[in-house]
Amino acid sequence: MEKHLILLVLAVLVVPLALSAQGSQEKAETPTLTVYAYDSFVSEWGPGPLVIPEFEEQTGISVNLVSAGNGGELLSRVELEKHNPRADVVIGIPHELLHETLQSQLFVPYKPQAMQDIPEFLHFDPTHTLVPFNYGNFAFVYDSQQVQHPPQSLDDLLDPKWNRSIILMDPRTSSVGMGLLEWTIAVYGDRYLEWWEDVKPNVLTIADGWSSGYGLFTQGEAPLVISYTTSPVYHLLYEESDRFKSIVFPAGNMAVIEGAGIVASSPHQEEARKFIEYLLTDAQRDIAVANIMYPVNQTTELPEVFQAIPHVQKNLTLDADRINSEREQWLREWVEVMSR
Amino acid sequence: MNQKAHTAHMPDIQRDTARFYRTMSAPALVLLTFLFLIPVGIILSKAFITEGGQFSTERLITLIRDPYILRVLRFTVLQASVSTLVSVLIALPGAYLLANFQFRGKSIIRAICTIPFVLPSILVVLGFVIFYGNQGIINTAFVKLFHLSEPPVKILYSFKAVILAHAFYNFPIALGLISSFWEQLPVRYDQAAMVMGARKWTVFRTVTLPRLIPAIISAATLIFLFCFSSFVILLVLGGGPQFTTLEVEIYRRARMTLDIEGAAALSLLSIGFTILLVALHLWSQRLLSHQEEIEQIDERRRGRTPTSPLATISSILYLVLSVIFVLGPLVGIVYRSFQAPVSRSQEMVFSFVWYRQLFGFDRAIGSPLGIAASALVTSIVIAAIATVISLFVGTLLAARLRSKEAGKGASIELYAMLPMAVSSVVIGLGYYLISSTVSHSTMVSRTLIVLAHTVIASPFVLRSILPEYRKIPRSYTQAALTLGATVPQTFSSIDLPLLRPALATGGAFAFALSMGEINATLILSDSSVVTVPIIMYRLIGSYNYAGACALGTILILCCAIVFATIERVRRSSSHA
Amino acid sequence: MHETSLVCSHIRVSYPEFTLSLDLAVNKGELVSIIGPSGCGKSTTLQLITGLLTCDSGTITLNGRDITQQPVWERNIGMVFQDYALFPHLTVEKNIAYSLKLKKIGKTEQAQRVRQLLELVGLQGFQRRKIHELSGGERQRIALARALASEPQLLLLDEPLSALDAKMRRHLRKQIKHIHEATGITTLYVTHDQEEALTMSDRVLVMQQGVMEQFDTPEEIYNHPATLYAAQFMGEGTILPHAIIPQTLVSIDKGPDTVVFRSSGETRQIFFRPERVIVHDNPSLAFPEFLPHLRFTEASVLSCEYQGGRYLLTCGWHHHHILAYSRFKPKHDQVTLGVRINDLVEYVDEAVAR
Repeated sequence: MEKHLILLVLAVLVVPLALSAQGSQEKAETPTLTVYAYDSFVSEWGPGPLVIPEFEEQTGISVNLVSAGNGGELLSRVELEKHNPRADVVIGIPHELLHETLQSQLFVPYKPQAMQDIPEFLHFDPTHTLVPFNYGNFAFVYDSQQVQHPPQSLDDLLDPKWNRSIILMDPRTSSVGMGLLEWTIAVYGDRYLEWWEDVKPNVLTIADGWSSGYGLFTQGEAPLVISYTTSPVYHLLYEESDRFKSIVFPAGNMAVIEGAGIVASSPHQEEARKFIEYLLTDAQRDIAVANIMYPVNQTTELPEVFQAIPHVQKNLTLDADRINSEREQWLREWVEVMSR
Repeated sequence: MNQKAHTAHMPDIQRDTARFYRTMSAPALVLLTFLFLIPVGIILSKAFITEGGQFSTERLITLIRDPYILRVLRFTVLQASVSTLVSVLIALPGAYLLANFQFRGKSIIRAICTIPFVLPSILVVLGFVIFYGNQGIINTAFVKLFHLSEPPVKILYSFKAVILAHAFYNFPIALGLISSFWEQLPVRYDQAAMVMGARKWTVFRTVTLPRLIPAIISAATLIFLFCFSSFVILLVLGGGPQFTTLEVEIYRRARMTLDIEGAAALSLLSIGFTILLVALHLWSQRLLSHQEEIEQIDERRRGRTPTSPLATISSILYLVLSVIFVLGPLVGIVYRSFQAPVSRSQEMVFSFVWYRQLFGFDRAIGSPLGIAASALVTSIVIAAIATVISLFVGTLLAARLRSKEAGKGASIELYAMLPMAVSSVVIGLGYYLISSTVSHSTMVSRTLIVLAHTVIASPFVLRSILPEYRKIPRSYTQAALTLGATVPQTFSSIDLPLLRPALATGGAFAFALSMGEINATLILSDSSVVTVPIIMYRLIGSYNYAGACALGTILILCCAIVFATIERVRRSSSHA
Repeated sequence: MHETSLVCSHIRVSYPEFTLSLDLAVNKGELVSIIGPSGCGKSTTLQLITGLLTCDSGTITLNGRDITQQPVWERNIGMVFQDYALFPHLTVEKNIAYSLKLKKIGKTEQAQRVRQLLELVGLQGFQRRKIHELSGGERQRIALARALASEPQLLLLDEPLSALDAKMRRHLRKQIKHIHEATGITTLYVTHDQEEALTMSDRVLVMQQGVMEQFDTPEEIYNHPATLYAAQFMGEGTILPHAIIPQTLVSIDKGPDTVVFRSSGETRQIFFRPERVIVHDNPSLAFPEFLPHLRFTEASVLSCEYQGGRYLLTCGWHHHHILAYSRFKPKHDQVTLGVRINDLVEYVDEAVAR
């Protein structure tokens, strides 16, 4: 039986060597800039693989792109690592976490040149600690094969004909769900809970996240789902299908703005600034297409397919400070109403 | 005449044995401490920090007093209990069949048992929906067959659906653990009872069932812990926040409202509960472990082919139903992976396009070629190494615990089982801490991931091996010693070969867990190491569900092959 | 002159139930049985000798070599366990060759030795068999072969026959004895069956509660048991209070005062074996007079058990029970029993009066 032990030891020693041979697509040995981004940015199908090599070639600065969680996670992570900070730039903090971001004092303001090409309503941070680089609008998406007369407002969704036809997400676990919650607050103010109470019979399920919810939707479980106005772009581009359409409400759609910031403790401030500039200019098109969202830079040329999407008339937003102070309460009230 | 001077030099075989296993199992405990206890401990300690940075139990107390939280806790326990009960009940008949009968396809069924673990829960949910949903396979079949106007099966988005999904995920564990334990039970007690006039059901109820209890409790505890921290399944298939579990609230605080202190506090509450459960489980194991020893082999039950028509029919029925039940969602995933819409008409036709994209034969959304292949290799290599190491770790820990008197080994057992009792969200936070303190060369990342997987898998391996280990009679080891074997030699020439079936079961678990693990892999490697679950997760995140299903299918196939091989190992050593 | 092989000197081990104390020397080539009730320390003794348990004090010497410090695996003492402990995952051949393999003995030599051993135990050709295919008797012999494989200097057998039926036991007993003679190996044999101990051993060690009651040849123990305990363990017999002697003593040549006894007392008892008792069931015939003896008149026959060739009578006499063997079944309910003084053993407080 000793030969088994020997084989074992050999295996344990040899395979790591094999593993390191595997990783042939390594980046340069000492990356100059470490960028934390949300996972779908880093994903093989995200903007990362398109944007980063371009930047490296253009500037000669090598970049280590790190997948560091989504939304709030990014902030948490930087916070937890503050004694051994690694990130230089963080991409993907949503605008509603502005208050927390500022409070953390982990980021340093920087106003890039490109800000002038970005419309006012996207300037969610006057201090420019976080700059917008990507945005979209939440919208209800429907299956045109099953729905001929889509709802045109939040009120329309309360119609009994939509019984068990809507897929939503839980605001406690999904940023899309949170977005819808804020949307109802923006529209109904203090009476938002009534809408939720009334929409309950029309809801098929409240999923844990956008991925699950949208998956159910494409599977045909229900004809309506809360998603983004730009969702149909995917189906047009890759499935050549216009079956799924998004709805722009005349009263407005809730905006979601993603921001990027430079970490205060970073020793590579110069490079970080270059990166931010790049992000807001040359990278915009690739980001928009890969993310299937809108570029913030108005001068960006988008592929034709984006024209097929109805354009949002009115962008709704809520003040970040208000979100920070009342979010707990909203969530509590929401849970209470929806659990009944 | 007093010869006390001698005692200091006396060779003490028991002390030597204990020392050998203590040394050998020390690395395991060190691993556990650094990869789990310390980082998670630091995160959890945040529960005691107030806004101002002072130490206080205030947060925890407010939480415990909160009626909402208590309600959520109650529900969490309720759904976990019901799920566990259902899973075990469904598994028992299957365990009976597997343990007592010999028939073809047994190894296939065993192999299928661990597949659910491999898949990320989101894919499981998707598979469920594809199979049981309103537009799902079952409903479409019924509607077509019986010309119905409405889909008849409407279980989704309810408590029932949650239990069903949990049972799908978990009853294979119960099946695996209970049937392998059952196989080893000697028949003579059953025979004694029958001779005394008991009929089969009575024999089962009064003789077999009590002796199965260690295995049942073992499986039940594992299942309960899973369902306790279930998350995706609950929200999606349950239908709404009335089915909130503690895990949801922890996730909310950790990820959405950035209240790490709150998440830590809630996690402590949750852990308090799960630790109690784990302790209860360990205590019951200890109590009942004195029962069996590996008996004279001819007393073990031999597989027999079912004779009476009733037995044959019911076993076939059970097999078919359970295969459908377990395979159903898997079938759903496989089915979806082969469906692609024909452009314009939107008809779904059979197509390999998603597979081609994955392996780089077709260009897809700007993707590099051959992602899936390389991710698969990475996953398998990591899983293989992690399996080997966790088998080692688990066996050595079991060896150490086996020779302990009651009570002394309990803290170590608890220690080893802890990773299962903590929410994966919190463990993730702990990983952030680890990640921030280490340098990020590829070697370090990969090593960390393998080690993290080992920590996660070890409780399962331990659970599989320890009961079997306790059954090996001490006289075997003693005989080997008198024949000239040193303690390490008895371990390698006697213990290990006899443990082969248990090692196979434990190894299968470890492999599956590693293949399906995403939390540690993502965080500890900054995703420079790309495994299959990560790719699936990314595909789903970029609208490409069919691609994810295709990858899921490959994963299932891959695991099925590995498990079938392991089954073969297990059978060849069961001296049948 | 016997050469000593195993010496256990001043061995002391404390247990909650009793303290084990051993002081014995076994000669080379001897077969010593250790006998006693369950829990008296027999198996413990074996485990101490192998090193599986440790002593608080004392030394163990084997063929002149002090092995007290040696770990189990170096002592080269063969042991057959009660459950045989044959390794289920190895064939018969591999089981037997286990110790040889550890000693790095070559394959051909291993095979040869295995063949020799199988021949010795009468199981030629069993090399390839699996353990679970063997019967109880076969397993026992394989276990023996395995223990002998490395040519140990001492062989220990822990109740090797207790799991077998009576016929198999008798048969295997002979086999073990034969193997012992063929190999000449010093053997310690633990059993609770006194018949085994009597028939097989050169000497017998009677143990109780960790104490060596008596260590002597079977004949000595049988005829002159050192304690009442030993007496009763190694066969049947009758125990009577010393006080009955004056009541029943008959001396034909001189008066009772010619026979000298130790001073009497309540703690004194006498013991004699059933075969030493003369049974006289015909009152019309004269009682065979013989040397000073105890005569029990009008003893009533309580039970009469046929033992194949003789009868075991249990007789009641003045509230005592007396056991006696008789060739013939008593025709009457009342008999007269007689026991020679020389056949009595006296005990004070259970120990032999010296």
